[in-house]
This record gives sequence, structure tokens and C-alpha cells, in this order.
Amino acid sequence: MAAPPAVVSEVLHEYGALVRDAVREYLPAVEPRRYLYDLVADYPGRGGKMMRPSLCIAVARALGAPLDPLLIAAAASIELMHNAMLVHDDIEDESDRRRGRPTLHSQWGIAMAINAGDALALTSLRPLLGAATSNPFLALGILEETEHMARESAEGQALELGWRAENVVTLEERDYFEMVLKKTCWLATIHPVRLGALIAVVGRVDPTAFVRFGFYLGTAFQIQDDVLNLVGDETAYGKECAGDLRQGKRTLMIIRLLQLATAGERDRLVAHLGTPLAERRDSEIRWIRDRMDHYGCIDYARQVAHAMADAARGEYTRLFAPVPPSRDRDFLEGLITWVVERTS
Amino acid sequence: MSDHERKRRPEPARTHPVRHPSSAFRSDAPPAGAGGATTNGHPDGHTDAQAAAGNPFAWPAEDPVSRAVRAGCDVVEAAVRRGFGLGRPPGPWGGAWPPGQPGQPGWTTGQWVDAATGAFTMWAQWLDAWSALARSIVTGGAEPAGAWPPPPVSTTGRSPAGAPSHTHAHAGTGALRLAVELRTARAVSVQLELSSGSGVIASGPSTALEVYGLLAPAATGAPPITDVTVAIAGGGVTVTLGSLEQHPAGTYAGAVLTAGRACGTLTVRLT
Repeated sequence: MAAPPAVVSEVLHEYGALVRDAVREYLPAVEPRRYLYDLVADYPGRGGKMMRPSLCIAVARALGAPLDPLLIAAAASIELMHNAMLVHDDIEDESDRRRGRPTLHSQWGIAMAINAGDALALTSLRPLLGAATSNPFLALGILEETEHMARESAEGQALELGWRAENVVTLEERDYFEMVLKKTCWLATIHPVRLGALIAVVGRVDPTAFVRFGFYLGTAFQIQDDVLNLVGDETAYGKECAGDLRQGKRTLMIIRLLQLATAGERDRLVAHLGTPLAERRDSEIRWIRDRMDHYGCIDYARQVAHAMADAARGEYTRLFAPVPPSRDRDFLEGLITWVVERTS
Repeated sequence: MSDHERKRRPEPARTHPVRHPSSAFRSDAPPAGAGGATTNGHPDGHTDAQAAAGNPFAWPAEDPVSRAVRAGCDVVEAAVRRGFGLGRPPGPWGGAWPPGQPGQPGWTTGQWVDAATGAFTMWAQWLDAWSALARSIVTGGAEPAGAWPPPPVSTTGRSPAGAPSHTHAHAGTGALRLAVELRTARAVSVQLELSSGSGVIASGPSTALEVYGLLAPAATGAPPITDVTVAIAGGGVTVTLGSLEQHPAGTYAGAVLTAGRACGTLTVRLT
């Protein structure tokens, strides 16, 4: 697959800066700063790829919407909600690093991090409430979409947490995709795309049309994320390497390894996954990684990610072929390559 | 071999997954030669036509990557079939509405916004009609001279099935005249809404409008309608629709643009 076109990084940079400015305006600059609002502003201030809000803006603009305050507010809302979920995800996953720095809960403790995450989630509604004054019908639609996305994400996260808590090892690819559809795709791709379309056509197109594109794009993104967790450069990736193996996440590669391992290897892997997190040994993580290489699990995951990107490209053609050429349309097409070729 | 001569590997045979142009618009049949495919294109004999129709892949021989991709495809198709309103609390009617009716859990946001907009439009037209009646009473039946710009419009036209036709339809008093030119024998209902805030109506008859395509919900597998134009001329709007014979019945909608900005929507219902 060719390298992603330059327009992807250009648009991510441009729309990212626009949304970051908007997000700053919505973050409360009031007391109590030390125990709350400084924490609330922490993750949004660390940067990030800004893929989600950029996707929303690009879809809307490709379909003819102006870059107006409503669109920027919707994109800012997506970014704020994403950051809120990251705070809680990091607690649930017991992660140490986020965007190259210690996670919020490892700096401030779990209780304060949960509270900051709650405040950040509520803050994500502020842009939508502002939009309600200009177009109440559309704002109501956006609000409903947001509520739906948050529920899907919670259900997906619950699936993954439940599998880990009960050490479920009889999973198939279908289970993984069901979880990724909910946990990743809704917030990362489906919701931004649907919101962009909803804003562009003022609610006249059934946003279901955009679910497939979002699913294939988001799945390719998630699988590449899982791969980077194993093979990526920790500085560029920004999270601890092999953290997924330590946390016992049910990635496509783990599911593949469980399918291919010998009975003895499978028992050893299941035992590792059933061990409390604090007791998981580095030697076992290295052994799992070695077995993944032995059985070609990472190459397999890469191939699936590329196939999903192919499918996303098919959906892109179907959805955006009637739209006139534009930089935003080029960005959407280039993003498909970017999600599977990125290194961070 | 000279220094400038490059060694080339033979082109590897691609085994999976192979996308095929024939599947671009979700034709039911897989491309010829797709290994392992049954009559409906599903390697394991899956008979769910909707899932098969939504399969964007040509299934090759059974291999792990194809199997995984197929699983992903099945998951999203199942999710689309389920709809995305599961878990939504019942509406004020306790969820007792028959399928497809307003208020039923599972209604999409687009449908909600559609219904709300439609209800508002009906109310506005009803109000407009009463206002016109009141004006005609006050003026003794003489309509005040029409002036440009007219008020915001929501105007519809309907054509029965039959020969290609040229249809005119009028909305409430003061609305733009809508002309629908059809080069199809299909029965068509057209709804055009122009935003009052877009400035299109106020800018006069020279406004250039564009429509790049009308999309149907993906679940129908219908290709977009691209042979469509919208133009303002002589105080009226003309919607021209080309051949629609290949399009299945359903609702197709898209944005109306002026100078690259959305200024309204066009909805076409084929029966």
C-alpha cells in the first residue's frame, strides 16, 4: 500500500489546530484549578492525532457544509468526549503512559482522575448546548448521536473488561470485531463521520449510510493500534510497548495465537491471561510475543487491517464518488491509507 | 547483467481478499472465479440475502484473513440490520407503534430530524395558507403584488408513473414555483427545501445551485442518483431528473449547494 498522501498530515494539522483552540475555550478557567480544572485540561493539552474531529469536519466540508461555528463546536465536542474516555480507559486498563507522559491517575490518583474524567465528559456537552441556540433541531440530532455513541462505547468497553475479568479465552474474530465496532469505531470514526454528514445535509440523509465506512476505517485503525503496541517505537507511539499483552487485552493477535498454539502453549497463555495484572511476569510477556512471531500472528493482523482498509476504500468510493473533488475528499481517501501505515 | 539493469520479481498472484468492481454497488453475485463461493456469494452457504448484498468482498478460497474479514463484514451488516436504537427507552407511546412508525425505538436521528422538520414545514404551510386567506379578506380578494424574495420555501412536486413528464407544483402562497422535469417513466415525489438563512432566495434568480448526488440508505444497496440538476430561473425552481430506471424504489436525498455551501436539501422518493 502506498504512503499516505501529504494532504492527510496537512489537514490533521490545520483542523487539529482549529479544534484545539476551540477546545481551550470550553475548558473552564476557574477554581478549583489544582484539584479539578488543571486535570481536566491535562489530556486535551497533550496534543494527539486529532483524527476524530478532523474526520467530522472533512466529511461535512466534502459534502458542502461551511466551516462555521456549529461544525467546529461539534468537532470540539467529539475531541472533549474522546479525552474524557481516555482518562477513564487508562484507569480501567491500569495504563502507565498516555501521549508520552504518565497517565492522569498515575499522577493524581484514581479518585481525582475519575472526577476529572467526569467533568471532562460533561464539558463535552457545552459546545452542543451552544449550538442549540442557532439550530435546535440539528443540535438535538447531534446530541442524540452523541448519547448513542457514548452508550455504544461503554458497551464495547464493558465487553473487553468482562472478557478480561472472567478470563474468557473462547473468542473468535467475530467477537473481536463486535467489541471493536462498539469500543473503538463508534467514537473514532462512525460518530465523527455521521455527525459531519448530519451537519452537511441538515439531517436529511439517513446516517446509517456512513456506518460501514466508519466500521471498516475504524477497525483498520484499531488493528494497526494493536500492532503498534507490539512493534512500535514507544516514544512515537506514546504508550507503553506490549502494554496490551500485560493487560491481557483480547486483540486479534491473541485470538489468533489461541487458535494456533499447541495444547501446552495454550494452557500457558491462558494461565498468563488469568493471572492478576500485578503478578504478570515480563518473561511470560516476552514468551507470548515470541510465539506470536512464530505463528505469524502480527503479519496476520496486518493483513486483516489492510483488507479492512480496502473495504473502507470501497465504501468511500460509494459514498463520496458523487461529491465534487476537494481537499477534504482527498483527505478522507488518504486517511484510509494513513490508518494502516501510521507509526504513532 | 549491467549495473543499470534491475532485477524484478514476478508479480505475485493475489489470493486474498480481492475486491471486484462488480461488488462496488453490492451486487448479490460474487465475481466469477471467486473460490469457495456459493450461489449467493457466501462461502459457508449463508442464505441471508441482505448480508450477502452487503458483502464488499469477493470471497476467495478459505484462508484465515478472508475468514476474519468475512466475520467483520458480518458483524457490521448485522449491526446495520439491527439498527442503532437498541436500548433506547420507549417513547411517549410506550414503544407500541408499529414498525417504521414515529416514536418506535430504533428510529434513526435522520428520521427524527426528518419528522420534526416535516411537522414544522406542515405547520408553516398551514399558517401560510391561513395568512393568505386573511390577506385576501383584508384586500377584498386582490392578492398583493408578489415580490422577490419570497419567504423560505418547502415545496413539493409529484409525478405519476407513466411517460416522462414536466410537472409543476405549487406550495403555499408566496412560495417559489417548483417545476420538475423528468426523463423517466417512474413515479417520483420530489421535495426541495431551501434554507431561509442561506441567502439563496434573497440573492435572486441568477443563483447557481448544484446537487452532486442523492444517496439512499446504504441498507438498500442502491446506487446514488447523479443525473440531477437544480436551477433557479424566472422566479421558480426547476429540478431535472434523468433516467431512474436502474434505481430501486426508496428515498434518495442530498444537499443542495451554492458556491460550495449547503443551502438546502433535495429529497426524491421513487415508488
